[in-house]
Amino acid sequence: MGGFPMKEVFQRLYQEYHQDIFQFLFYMVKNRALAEELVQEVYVKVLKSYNKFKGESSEKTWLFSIARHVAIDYFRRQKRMRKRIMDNFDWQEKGYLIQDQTKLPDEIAVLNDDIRKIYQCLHQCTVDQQSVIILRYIQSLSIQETAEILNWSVSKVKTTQHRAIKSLRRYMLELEDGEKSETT
Amino acid sequence: MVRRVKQHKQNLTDEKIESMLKSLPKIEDKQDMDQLYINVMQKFNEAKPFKQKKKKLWLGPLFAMAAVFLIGFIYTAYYVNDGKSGEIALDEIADNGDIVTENFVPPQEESIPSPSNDEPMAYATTFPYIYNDLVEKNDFFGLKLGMNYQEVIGLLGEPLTSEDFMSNLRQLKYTEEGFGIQLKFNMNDGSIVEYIFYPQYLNDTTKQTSGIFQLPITKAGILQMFGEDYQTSHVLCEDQSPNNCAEYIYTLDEKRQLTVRLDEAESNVVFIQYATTNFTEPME
Repeated sequence: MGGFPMKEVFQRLYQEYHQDIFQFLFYMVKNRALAEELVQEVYVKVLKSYNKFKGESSEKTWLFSIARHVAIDYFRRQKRMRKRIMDNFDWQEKGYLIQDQTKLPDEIAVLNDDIRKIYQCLHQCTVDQQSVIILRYIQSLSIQETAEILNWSVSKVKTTQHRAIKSLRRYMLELEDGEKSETT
Repeated sequence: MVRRVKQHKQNLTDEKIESMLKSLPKIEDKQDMDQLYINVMQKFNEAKPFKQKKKKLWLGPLFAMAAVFLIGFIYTAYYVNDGKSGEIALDEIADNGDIVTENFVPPQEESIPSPSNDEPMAYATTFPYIYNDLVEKNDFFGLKLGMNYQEVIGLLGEPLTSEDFMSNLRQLKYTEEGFGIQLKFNMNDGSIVEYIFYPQYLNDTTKQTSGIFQLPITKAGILQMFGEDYQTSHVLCEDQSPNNCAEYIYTLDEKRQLTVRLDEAESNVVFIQYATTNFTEPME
């Protein structure tokens, strides 16, 4: 029989990986409530396919890989929804109503200026670049583990990481230049 | 000013960016683990079963039917025309519908009857998904043997009322018509060893929390949901009538079975029981 004690599996995965997976999702979507919702989706997908997990990769990289797909699914849904809204939006009449409502999460808001800025700039990177940066620098995973999660070659991880750092540097400088020109 | 900007650019090295990234704070989830599990199980229950890539099972029979028609056609064309050329035979067959229909064999009717119009249709065509979940995952619309009461309520929602009796049984009422679920507990650990569902008191299409609220009410619906791999036994009907009622017993494994009790006419469902078979009743 292919059944498994679902609650026990859930509890074990929760104890071992929950905070890491949650943190990964938080930095991907930059919203605590949303990360709380998505982490549930991750567990649903994990429990549904737990029987099929063959141990070819580590359980940890398997979970991160599912979490990344859940985040990407969310971005796609958002993109479709945004497109629908944009198509129906009256830009001439209501364009002035659009403002950036993104509020910095409490954990980030209390940090020093540089760290707040790097957090904001991370948002400007591509999804692939964000994935690599979060896995490598925030989750402290190795290049090999990151490659397994993303299903990439090691060299692709290295290249994307390098480009992501260059992009972040450029965004940081642009952000600072923008701030300076606003004050003068 | 220009010099200061240049200096800043030089200071902002890749290493500094990396160091800033590493300084981003740890983020913790503060959700309670048990509550999270209940939420996950609710979503798990709502989620559609994984769609396996459909094997094109219809292709085989389709080719077989096409072949039968073709052979029938050639056979008819040959014998009706006594070996005349195919072209003439084709014309004659086209004029003579009787000959064609004599050779037409209608496809066998499916052995599983269609559910009646009264049947809740949401799950009527789901075999083998639900049955497979039951066999492989001990999963009956999210409910499992071994769950505790809180987990069941987490999935189904609070009942309108509940009643306890005989020390280890509890009945739950979800519609005004009657008690729709009976739970039997193992009093040693509070786990559930038996569920009995009474579909006629559960069917409520407004409840989307679980397929439990749209169980089949007819024999046809049962066969559609669980298939035909069952053994039949006959027991006295509960209402003390002298008549027997049929029970369809699906043996899921050596420890679990699903029993469907039908009415005297063997057409409507009285209850569906999902139970552990090796549970010993507590001593009174």
